[in-house]
Amino acid sequence: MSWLRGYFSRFERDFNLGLIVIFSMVLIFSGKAVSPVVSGLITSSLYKPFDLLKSHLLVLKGASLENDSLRQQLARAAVELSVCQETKRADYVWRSAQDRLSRQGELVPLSRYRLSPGRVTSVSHDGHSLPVRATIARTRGDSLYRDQPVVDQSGLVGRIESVTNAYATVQLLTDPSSRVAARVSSSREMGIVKYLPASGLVLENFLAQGTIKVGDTVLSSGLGGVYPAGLVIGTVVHVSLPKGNPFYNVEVEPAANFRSLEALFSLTPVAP
Amino acid sequence: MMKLIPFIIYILLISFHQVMLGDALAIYTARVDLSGLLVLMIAMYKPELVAAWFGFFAGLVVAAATPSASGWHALILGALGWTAFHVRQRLNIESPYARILVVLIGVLVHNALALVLSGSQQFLYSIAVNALPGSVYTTLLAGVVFLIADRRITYEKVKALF
Repeated sequence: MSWLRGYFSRFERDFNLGLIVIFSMVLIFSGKAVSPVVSGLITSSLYKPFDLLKSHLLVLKGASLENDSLRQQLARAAVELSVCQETKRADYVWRSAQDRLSRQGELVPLSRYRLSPGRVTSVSHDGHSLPVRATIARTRGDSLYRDQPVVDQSGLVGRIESVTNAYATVQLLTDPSSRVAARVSSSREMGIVKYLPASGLVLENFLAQGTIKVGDTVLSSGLGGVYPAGLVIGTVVHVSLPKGNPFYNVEVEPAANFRSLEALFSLTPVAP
Repeated sequence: MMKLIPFIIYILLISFHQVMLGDALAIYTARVDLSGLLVLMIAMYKPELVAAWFGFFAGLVVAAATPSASGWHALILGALGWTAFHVRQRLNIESPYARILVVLIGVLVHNALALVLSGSQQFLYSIAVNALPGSVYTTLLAGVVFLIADRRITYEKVKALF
């Protein structure tokens, strides 16, 4: 046995190189006998896991694109639903109270608006607990401009504050300097929504003679020219009337979740 | 067994490159020839038989999708590893530029032979459009790997830049 080992160790190099050549020749000249088996083994053991990974990644990519599309559709549907509900309410109000008709006259049908999507790339808090500004990446073909209303699938988010070639900055409702002319959906009475760092989103200037209760939906009134009427701002969560105060203290839970801003949509008016 | 682990990782890397990474790293017609690169790198640092055997197995993995050519690919890459080792030995290559030149020629030869095997109709056109840019791209990658292997680029040096 030792002579065999010695023989192999002496000719180890030639033996190995010979084996490589022989194996290669077997694969070349065996036709369909050996090489498909070897290739099949390699494919099933080495290629298949990566192939599965690739197909899963492709599925995920497709799902992500579909998700974006669905999110846009959801936002559009939410805006349209909100407008329909607002139109229904306005219609009811117009029928029932002639004196309010003139105040509802400026309602803008949101079917006249096109939704341009924009992915949030960054948010800035400026020392506040909630973000006050969001930067969205512009997409090709959008037509963003200053003061354009911005929504997500839940409701109003803010307005465009500035625009560059690649990005747009959105002033969020949570910015203490932001103001939105608002209306309570049930009573149709108006106020101004602003954000106070201490108490959150509030509805100000809501007269003590007005009617408001917890659970009422607060909508944009359309006054002021920036936001169209009927966009959902939030829900009334607390109402109080301090003694001697001519206005209610109304706290509003925003419809949009400002802690998880992801995809926003700007409303671009289109010609009727 | 422990000595085999790096080579198993290289083989897995080649498989990963064949299935996914190749398309992601491709710049127009220039594709990284990872199998050629790894075989040549091993030939630069390891013994002759290791380079030849690794080339053989790398060839089998590269040509797994085309069983009829797997033997040729195995033979070509095995021969490439063996030749690169002897070029390194005979010319006593130490300089990174000389190694890069060996990689460029080796990858170009491998790409050209792969084109011959695939029965490319317009051979010279394919050489100019696919093989040459791919070889240059692979060589650039090899340059970076050599600089890292020779510790000319280290984490500390990169960190010091910033």
